[in-house]
Amino acid sequence: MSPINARRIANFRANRRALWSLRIFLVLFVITLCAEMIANDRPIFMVLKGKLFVPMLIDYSETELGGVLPSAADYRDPFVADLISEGLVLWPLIRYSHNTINWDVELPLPHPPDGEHWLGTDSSGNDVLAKLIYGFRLSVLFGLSMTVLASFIGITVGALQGYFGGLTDLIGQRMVEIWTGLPVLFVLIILNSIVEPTFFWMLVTLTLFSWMALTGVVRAEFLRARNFEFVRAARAMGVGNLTIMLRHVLPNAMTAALTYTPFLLNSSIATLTALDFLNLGLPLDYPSLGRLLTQAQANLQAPWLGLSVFATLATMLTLLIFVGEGVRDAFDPRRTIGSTRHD
Amino acid sequence: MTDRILEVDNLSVKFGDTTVVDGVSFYLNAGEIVALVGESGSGKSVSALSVLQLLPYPQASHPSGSIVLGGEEMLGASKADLQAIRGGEVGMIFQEPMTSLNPLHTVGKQIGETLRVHKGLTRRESRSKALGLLERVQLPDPNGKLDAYPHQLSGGQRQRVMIAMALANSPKLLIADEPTTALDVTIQASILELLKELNRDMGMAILMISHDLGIVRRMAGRVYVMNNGKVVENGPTEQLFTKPEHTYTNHLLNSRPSGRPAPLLKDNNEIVSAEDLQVGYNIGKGWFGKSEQFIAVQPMSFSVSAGETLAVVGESGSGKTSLGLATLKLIPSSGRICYLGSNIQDLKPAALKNLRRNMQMVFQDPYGSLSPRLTVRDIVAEGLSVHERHLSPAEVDARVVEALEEVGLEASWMSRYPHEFSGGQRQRISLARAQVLRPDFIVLDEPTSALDMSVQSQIVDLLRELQQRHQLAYLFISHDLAVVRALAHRVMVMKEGVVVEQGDAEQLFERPQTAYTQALLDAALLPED
Repeated sequence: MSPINARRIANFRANRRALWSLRIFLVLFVITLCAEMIANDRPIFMVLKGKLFVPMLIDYSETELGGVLPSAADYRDPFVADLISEGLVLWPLIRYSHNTINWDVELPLPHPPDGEHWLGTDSSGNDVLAKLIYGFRLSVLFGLSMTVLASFIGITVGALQGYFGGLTDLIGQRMVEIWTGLPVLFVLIILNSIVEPTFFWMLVTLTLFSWMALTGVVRAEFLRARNFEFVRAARAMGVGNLTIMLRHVLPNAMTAALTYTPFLLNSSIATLTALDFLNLGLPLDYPSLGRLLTQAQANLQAPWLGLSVFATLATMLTLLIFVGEGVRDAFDPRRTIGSTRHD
Repeated sequence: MTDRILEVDNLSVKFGDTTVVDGVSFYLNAGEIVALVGESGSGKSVSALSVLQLLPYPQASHPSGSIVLGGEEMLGASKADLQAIRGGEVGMIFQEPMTSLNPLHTVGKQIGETLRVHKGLTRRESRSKALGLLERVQLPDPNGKLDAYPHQLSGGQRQRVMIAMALANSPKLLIADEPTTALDVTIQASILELLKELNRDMGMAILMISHDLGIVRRMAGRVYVMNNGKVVENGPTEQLFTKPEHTYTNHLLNSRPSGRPAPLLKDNNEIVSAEDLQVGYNIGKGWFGKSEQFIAVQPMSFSVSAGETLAVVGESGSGKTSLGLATLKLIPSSGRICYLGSNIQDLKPAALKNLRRNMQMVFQDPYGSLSPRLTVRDIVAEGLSVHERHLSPAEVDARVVEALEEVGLEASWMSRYPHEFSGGQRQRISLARAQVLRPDFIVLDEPTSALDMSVQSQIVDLLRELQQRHQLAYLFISHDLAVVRALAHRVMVMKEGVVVEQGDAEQLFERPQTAYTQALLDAALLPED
């Protein structure tokens, strides 16, 4: 590892709030990444009559398990439950997936928390905890990928504008202004009424309208830094434009860009949730926190819905902001721990 | 004279846990000019600022000492008392005239403000008083300048305005913190003349803070030499300069760049030459308007041979830096620039890139010219990564070590970052960066002017040594004639883009041909040697 990265990591570790936020976040993220092993309506694996089955990954028909129907086995069906009861079965901690409807639940829905549903059910009989686990994973993955994409585009555009300046900057800046002026919500409504949105479709459309956040700061940093003496020194040395941009100017612009990324990350998660809340986002079969919020609003007598979504979102956004701040400070060379001058 | 204005006794200043000033005592009598001398970090500015309690409290603290100003103790004085004293009994002028005036207010308004605060004058009264003050500091066209904004004034004029503001309430004491460091030499001389005159005519005591021994010798009656937060020696100026007792004073006095460049070898070949070189900048170009040109360098010719230093001397705005940048083709120019006899003005970018390894540049600001995000190794190795791509990482390391050792740095410092080094060390890193490619021509743009005096002379020695060992050709850009004298074989004096005089250095220093060169030499306060 290069010493600069070693120092960044040391700086990050010295920031206790960021470090603990990262630890807690990583635990939650790893847990939710294996959501299928924690909340699922089918066993993780089972040994039946000397044969190994992995229902979590493979769809088995009932006949394979010794039943009569050739269709896929529904492990919540009492008949199937009976079939596998003799074998060795490992069930997940929560026996519901995000879209499992518990037909046995006592009406009316939504059902309050009890021993079976730790955080109750929503108005269609889905387990809320299972939904939160899947929804957390979806939101974080969406937020992270959108931040990476949007930062990449934004930094590239800002860097080109700032470094070359002049006409490039003039034209680029006007294009960005026009693009920023588009009414995002309406465009999204129109786009989503033409195409059935999926995860990637949402990712692409939302990225298209959020990369401008970084362009301004990166452009400003490049405009400033391109006249620095060390950039001049590099040019005097014959270093090419691309190398100067990547090696000399970009690292100096990164602190400014990184200042924005935690907010970009959080706003992308919030935007997705908001669109889902307005029924303009992901379709019904996605485990979305926004849709759970819509249900909470429609069922004010069931506070466990709203409270649990609120707690999940608040925890997630707070942790991400703290981690983002820590990363930003770690990248700033002027904030150092125990550095000394040698005069 | 026993009328004591200021008595500082056993003063200590701490920033956090670091002691910056340690048991310093000094005093000023009425009408006296006293100088605090020292290199950067010696605590001289901090001592002076604590007289007016202008330090960033509560980070700064005074564990011990007393400051008695006009019979009153300043340490622990109330805010109201301090405010009455600041700008009232004591005036202060700062080093940087560019930033110490508010750019959004006119000069008249800013001077009037102090008058209204301290004397309760009306607008009209304060305006006429301000006019009188501007006349007093000999600002040309004082009436017109009252309504001018700071950006419309030159650096020297701004410093005069600062002095006028400090004089507004006829203070008994003026604290001048490096008042002329940011100014050109000829302007510097006239400002010093003005301060001396004010001291004589108004009987105002002046506490000067300076690192420039030439100025101190000319101005001050008594001198305190500071080093590492302590006063190491004090006494009347003449005595201190002729018979210094402390080793540090001795070191300071002998640290002015001295010596002469090494004699040239016979039949050395010409490295770089220029004919009719002209540099212009486009200004005020609108969408459809005609573009106007500001000519920074009027057509001029020069040549530099191996092992030779050609110094370009001039004040700010004389076009000397533009000339240096144009010679390396870093800014567009017209005319011929020849490297080893062939014109490089119209070379294709790829061919020019190959040439760059032979022509290097060292910049003025040791803080700005090194990328803060790269290690010393990466900075020095940069040129190799462009021009000698075939080298393995181990070979690159070896070349970097060689270059670092050549400029007097330790090889083990390779993985450190620029901010961990002092100004002089950074300038050595810049030199190593240029030297690693083994060029034969280096443009040195004021490489010593941001450094302390003793560090300057080390860098000058190093430059001379490198030149002799590798027969380097230098284009040395500077306003500091002491350094020029120690380095240059030939000198070119520029003023407003025009070469006013050029010739052999020895001859030019002994028998300047033009009035301008003479004025520069007079103002530079060169030591006799």
